[in-house]
Amino acid sequence: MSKSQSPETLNPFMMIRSLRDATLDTMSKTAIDAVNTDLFAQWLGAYLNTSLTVGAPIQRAIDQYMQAVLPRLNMPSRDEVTSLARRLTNIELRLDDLDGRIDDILQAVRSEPAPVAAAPQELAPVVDTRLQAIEARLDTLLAAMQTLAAPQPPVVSDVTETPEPPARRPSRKPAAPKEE
Amino acid sequence: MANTPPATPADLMGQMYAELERIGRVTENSTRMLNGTLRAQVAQTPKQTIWSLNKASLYHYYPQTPVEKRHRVPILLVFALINRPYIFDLRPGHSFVEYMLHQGHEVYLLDWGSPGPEDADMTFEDYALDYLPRAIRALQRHSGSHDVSLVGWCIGALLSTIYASMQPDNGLRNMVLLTAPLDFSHKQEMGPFPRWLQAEYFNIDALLEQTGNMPGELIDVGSKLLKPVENYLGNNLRLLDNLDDPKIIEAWQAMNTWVTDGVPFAGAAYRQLIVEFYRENRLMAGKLKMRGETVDVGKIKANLLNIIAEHDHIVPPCQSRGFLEQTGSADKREIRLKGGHIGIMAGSGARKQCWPQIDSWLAERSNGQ
Repeated sequence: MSKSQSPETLNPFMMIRSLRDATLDTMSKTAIDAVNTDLFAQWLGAYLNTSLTVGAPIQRAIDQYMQAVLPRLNMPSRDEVTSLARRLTNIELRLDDLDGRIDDILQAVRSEPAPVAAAPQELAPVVDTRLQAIEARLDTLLAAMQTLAAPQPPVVSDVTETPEPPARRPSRKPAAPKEE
Repeated sequence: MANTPPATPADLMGQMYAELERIGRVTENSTRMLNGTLRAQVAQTPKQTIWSLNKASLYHYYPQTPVEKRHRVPILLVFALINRPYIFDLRPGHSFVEYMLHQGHEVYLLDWGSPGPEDADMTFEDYALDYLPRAIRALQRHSGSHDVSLVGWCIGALLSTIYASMQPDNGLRNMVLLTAPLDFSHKQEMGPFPRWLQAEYFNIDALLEQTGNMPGELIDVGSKLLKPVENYLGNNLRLLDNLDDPKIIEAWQAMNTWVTDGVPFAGAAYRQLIVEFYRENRLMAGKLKMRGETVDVGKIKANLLNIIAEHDHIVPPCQSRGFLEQTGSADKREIRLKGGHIGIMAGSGARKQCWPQIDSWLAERSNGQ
C-alpha cells in the first residue's frame, strides 16, 4: 500500500492494484478448483511417469559408467560410501546404547546410600555386643588376678608341684621373610 | 468509489511524486536484497547441541529466566520430516522458542537433519521408536527431569503420537499436537492430496527407485501446487508491493528462506506416509503395526492439547478433529484457531493467539510432582 494514498481522492495506482488483486483472487479460486480434480491428478501422474521413464535410462547409464570409472580412479563407489555410512550409524546406535546403560548404572549407584558412611551405623550393635563381651571377660580376669594376689596361708604338703610355665604370648613381630 | 471526487492535477502530481519516491526505496531495497546485504537472520536464539545420532541433533536453548521462575517439566519440540525445524525459532522477536524461554520453560528442539542416500531405508519406526526415545533419554539426562512435554507439529505430531502410543510410561507427561495429520478417512475434505496420491496416478515405487529419498524440491512443488496462483504469483507480488518496507521484506525473506530450505524425505518413511497413512489410514483404523506391535492410540496417557488450524489447506481440520476421543488420556483439550498450516505458529498473529494458549496449558501442567 502506498502511504501517500488519500481515501478522499482517486488514485490511479491504487486502482490498478485493486484490479490486479481482484483478477488474482479469481485466478486463484479457479486454480484451486482445477488442481482438485481427477483430470489434474491424472495429468500430474502422467507427467511424473514420463519424467521417470525418460530419466531412468540416463540414470542407469550414468550409474554404469561411474561404476566402471571410479575403481580405476581408486575411488569408492556410491554404494560403498553408503554402506560405510550405514555401518557408522550402526556403531553410533550401539554407542548410544552403551551411553544409556552407563547412565543407568551411574544413576543406580548414585541412588544407593554410600557404603562407607553406612558401615559404622550397621556395625554399631555388633561392635557394642563384642565390646561388652570383652569387658565381661576382662572383669572375670581382673577378679581372678585379685584372688591370686591376695595373701594365702602356707600349705604344708608332701608333694611339691612344679608350676607350669606361663603361656607364651604370640609375637606381634611379623615373621622374618625366608631368604631363598 | 461512487462518492470519490475526481482528483485534481495537484493531487495527481502528489501521488506521482509519492509513487516515484516509493520506487526509489524499492530500487534501493531490491539492490540490497540482490547483493545480500538485506538478509533475514533465522534461528538466532542461542543454543547448544547436547546429543546427536546420524543426522539427528538435539538442541538445548539457554534458559532466559532465573531457576526459581522456571517450570519443572522441559519441552521437546518435534518438527516434521519436511523442511527444517527452525520455523520454531524463525527470527528474533518472532520466535516461539524465544517466547517460551521468556515464559520460563526449558526448551529443547529435535532436528531430524537431512537424510542422505544411506538413510533411504529409514522408516517411521526408526524415527518414532529409535531416534525419538533416545533423544528423550538424552533430554532427561541433561535436564535431570524424568517428565517431559512434547510439542509435535505436522508429521512431528504424528511421530509424537506413535511414540506416545508405544511408550506411554516413558516420562511423557504432556503432549501438544499442532496441525496433526492423524485421520486420513475424510478423503473428500482433505483437498487434492488424496486424489493426487492414488495408486493409479502416483507410482511411488518407480519414483523412489530412481531417487532413493523423496527430494525436498518435489515436496515443495507438491505443497505449492495446492494453491498455485497464490504461491507462485501472489507471494511475489506481495513482496513487490512492499519492497519499500524493510520490516515486511525481513518477514518475507525469513519465511521464504524456510520454505525453500527443504530436506529430502527418507524413502521408506515417505512410502509409509503415502501407503499406510494417506491411502490406507492405518493409524485410526487400528491397523498400523510398528515392529510387530499394533499402534493403539488408546494407550496414550499423557495430557493432550490438540490445536487445529481452521484454514489449513495442507492438513485440513478433518485430519485431527475427534482424535482426542480415541485416546486414553484423562486430561485432553482441543482448540481451533484461525490461521493456516504454518501461519498458526509462525504468522504475525501467533504471538497473541497460539503461543499464549500453549504456554498457559503447559505451565499449568509442568509444575509439582
